[in-house]
Order: sequence, then structure tokens, then C-alpha cells
Amino acid sequence: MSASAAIGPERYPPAVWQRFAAPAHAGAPPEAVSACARDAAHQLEIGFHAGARGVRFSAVGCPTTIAVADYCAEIWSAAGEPPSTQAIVDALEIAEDRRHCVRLCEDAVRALQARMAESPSREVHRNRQAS
Amino acid sequence: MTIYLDHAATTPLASEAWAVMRAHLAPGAEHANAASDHAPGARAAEAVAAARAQVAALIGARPDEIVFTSGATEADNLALKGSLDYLGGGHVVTTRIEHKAVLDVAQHLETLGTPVTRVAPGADGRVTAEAVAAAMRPDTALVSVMWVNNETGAVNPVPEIARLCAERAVRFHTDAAQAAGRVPIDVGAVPVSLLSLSAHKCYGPQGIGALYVRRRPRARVTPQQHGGGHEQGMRSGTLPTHQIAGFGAAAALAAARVDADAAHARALADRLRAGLAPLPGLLVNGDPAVCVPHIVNIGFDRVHGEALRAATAELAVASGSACSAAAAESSYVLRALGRDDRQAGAALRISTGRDTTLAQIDRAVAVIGEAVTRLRAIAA
Repeated sequence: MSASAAIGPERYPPAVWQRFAAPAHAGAPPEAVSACARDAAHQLEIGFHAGARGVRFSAVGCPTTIAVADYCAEIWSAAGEPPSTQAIVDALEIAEDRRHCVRLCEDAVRALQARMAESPSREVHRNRQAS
Repeated sequence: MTIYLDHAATTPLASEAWAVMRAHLAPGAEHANAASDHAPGARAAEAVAAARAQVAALIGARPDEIVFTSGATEADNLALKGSLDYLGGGHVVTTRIEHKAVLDVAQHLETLGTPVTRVAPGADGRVTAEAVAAAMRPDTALVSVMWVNNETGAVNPVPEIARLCAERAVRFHTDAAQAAGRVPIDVGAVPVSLLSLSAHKCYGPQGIGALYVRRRPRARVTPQQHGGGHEQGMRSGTLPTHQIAGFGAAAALAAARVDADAAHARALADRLRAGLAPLPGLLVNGDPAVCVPHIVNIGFDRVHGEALRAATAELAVASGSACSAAAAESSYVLRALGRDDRQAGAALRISTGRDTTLAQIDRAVAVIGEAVTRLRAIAA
């Protein structure tokens, strides 16, 4: 990976590129509880959607943003809680100049958690984990 | 294999240009300084003179109106700074869609106290002569409006603006880097005072350009580079014979091919636009009816620019912004056309050339279509 590399796979850590090329957790299911966060300065947005089959994401963003959201949705679905900031940074080898993508993800996580707290009866994901 | 669709950034060197350059560069080839008075020097000077005539012919100028520079950026600097220095200052009118080679010079002049007015383009990407006229003041010394915009391909009404300036006895400069070889240029019919050219935008070598400086009425500029008095005292420095010869050959070829090149570019643009039209969220930046056909600028709603470029890495095209630590800076040209930051950042400039094929355009359409479909699905 190199910041001076041509745009394409060489520009990003392999884990980022893999998730950008084939995100497994994209798409908002119907009946999901949804919330999103935006970063106007970088023209990014991430939405998380909690539904019967776990957490999924939607994103308008760079490859790093998409990869971060995909990883977060995967861990959140599997573990019942979102990964820590450090876990995201370590798993995806996020460089310092891309940390704003992780911060946006944190904002989106908090937004969904707040929505779920507002409507506990719709906490489909938590109920699934509890069962 | 990368498909090169960035001819507005630089064109490949024409084989005709390479042939004449090689004659000067090859090991064992005669080499001399064109300013030397010995026989090899005189032959180098003859090669420079021949190329100067070829470059002049491309724009309908006289050979002694051509001042060779290192490129269009230097030509723009000489035109603006040299004019203001010679004229003793005054108000400058330019546009918000100029290349940085003009905008940054205007900004520099502004820091030195020069008042500058920047005219906004219309929705079609062009500035109008009326808008330029409205921006002019009694103390306006110089108007600078590019002939063809490098991002959208919009063709400004330069003949009209030039006549307006001539009527008011105001000096007029145009950056024609993207116009030369793409649209017919005749300074005999269009009263520009100064005109910038770049060789590598029209199949010549990088590192060489020219400033056309009108003789009648004389448009004098104060030199910005001193050291030997070359180029009639306007631009000192040893003339690079091989680059100038290559520029000359490229200019001759461009003059001969301008119609054929335009027809080829139109066919490619028609195929490209037809292929892209069904894609969801398509935004066309600039009105095709008033743009040169070799530049097509598009974007897509709900798609991030860097993701689009990453997903279309097979294509060598120009793009908007990158998502770096600093806030993303999108195209000021597209923002001037009313695009928001994300739309401007998600723009792709596809610029074709003589070597571009319909098969390459078909492949580009497929790559872009696949990327846009996938990224908009992620955004949904």
C-alpha cells in the first residue's frame, strides 16, 4: 500500500480493498431500525440498519469508509456489539489520514444505538442476540 | 491493461514529432546551440525557425509573433504578469473557470494590489461576452478568458470577447492550450493580443509551449525571465531545439488533422454518451452542444468520487477529489457550474484522442456502468 500508488488495489490495505470490492453486509433490509451519520467535509455518510438478520450498512464513501462500515456490521452482527475503534483500525490497517472514516463509523454506531434506545420494542437485533 | 482516456491532461507524442526530435537527440546526431554563430548553430537555428513557422501557421500568426516558453503555464505567467508590468498596472478581468495557471497568477497579482474580477460561467459552462463586458471597468487593462475549458470542454465565445476588447482598446489574452488542434484558430480573424499554447496537449513533447504576442497592434510584455535576451528579449534561455522541432511537427500535424480529429472525437463522444445515458444518477457536466467533443465530463449522484475512481481503476481518466485527512477539495470549475461538493468530487473527465477506439469506449462504458451500479447499491 502506498499513498503515492496509482488509484486501485495498491492504494489501500488488502483488507480494505477486499471489503470494498465485495462487501458482504451492504444493504438496508425492510423493517430495520436505521440511523446514519454524515461527514460533510469529506462528503461521506454511513448508515447502520438493525434487523432480524443482524446489522447491515449503507454508505456513500471512499473504499476505506465502505470497508470500515462492512467490518463494523459484521462484528456487530456476530458479537452483538460493535467493535472498538482500535479493533477497526487494527483489523483494517487504517492509516492516520483515514481515521476520519472510523470516526464517522463511530458516529453512525452511536446514532443507531440512540435510535434503538428510543424504540426498545424494535430492537430486533438485540432480541436476536439475547435469544 | 489500462485504457488511456486522459488526453486533456497530456497526449501521446506523435510519431512525426518523435522522428524530428530523434534527429536532434540521437547519439551522434549534430547538436548545437541555436544562438551560436557557427555552422551547426546555424542549422539548429534553421530547425527552430522552421518549427516557429509551423506553430505560427497552426493559429494563423506570423513566425515572429511566437515566443517559445516551457509550456502554457509559463506563457500564461508571461502574458498576465508581463502585461501588467508593461502597462503599469490596472484592473484585470478573468473567469472562475480558468486553469490554475491563470487563476493563481491573478491571485498573486491581487496580493500585489491588482484589482481582479472573476466572471462566473453560465449553466452551460461558458462565460458570455455580455458578462465580460459587465465586469470591465474604465481602468481595465487586461482580460483573460480561456478558449476551451480543460475540465468540461466548454468552448468560450473567444472571437466575440476578443472583438469586445478590441473595440474598447483593452488587451485580451486567451489560454488556448486545450483549443489548439481541436478547434480552428485564426488570430488573423480573431483580434486576441496574447495566446498561450502547449505542445503536449496536441501530440507534441512535454516541456515546451509558446506565447503568441501580436505585432499589429503591438502587445508588448515585460520579460519575466532574464538572462541572454532570447526570443526578442521576452523570454531568455537557451532554446531546446529538439523540443521546439517536435512542437513544430506536432503543430503541422494538428493543423492538417483538425477536422478529421474532431470528427473522430465526435463519433467517440456519441458512443460514450449513448452508453452512459441509461445509468442511474448520471450527471452531465457541461452542455455537449457547446463543448469540444474530445472532453466528456460526467458524474453520478449518490456515488463518492474516490470510490468511483477506485472501482474504475482500469481507466486512466481524470477525477475529482480524494478522501484525505484534510477536507476533500472538489473541482472549483464544477462548483462554479452549480454542482455541490459531492457531485463535483464524483466527476470523471473522459478525454479521448486520435488513438482512442470505439472498442475502448465500449469497455469504458461497461467498467463505469458496473462500478456505478455496485456503488449505488451500497449507498441504497
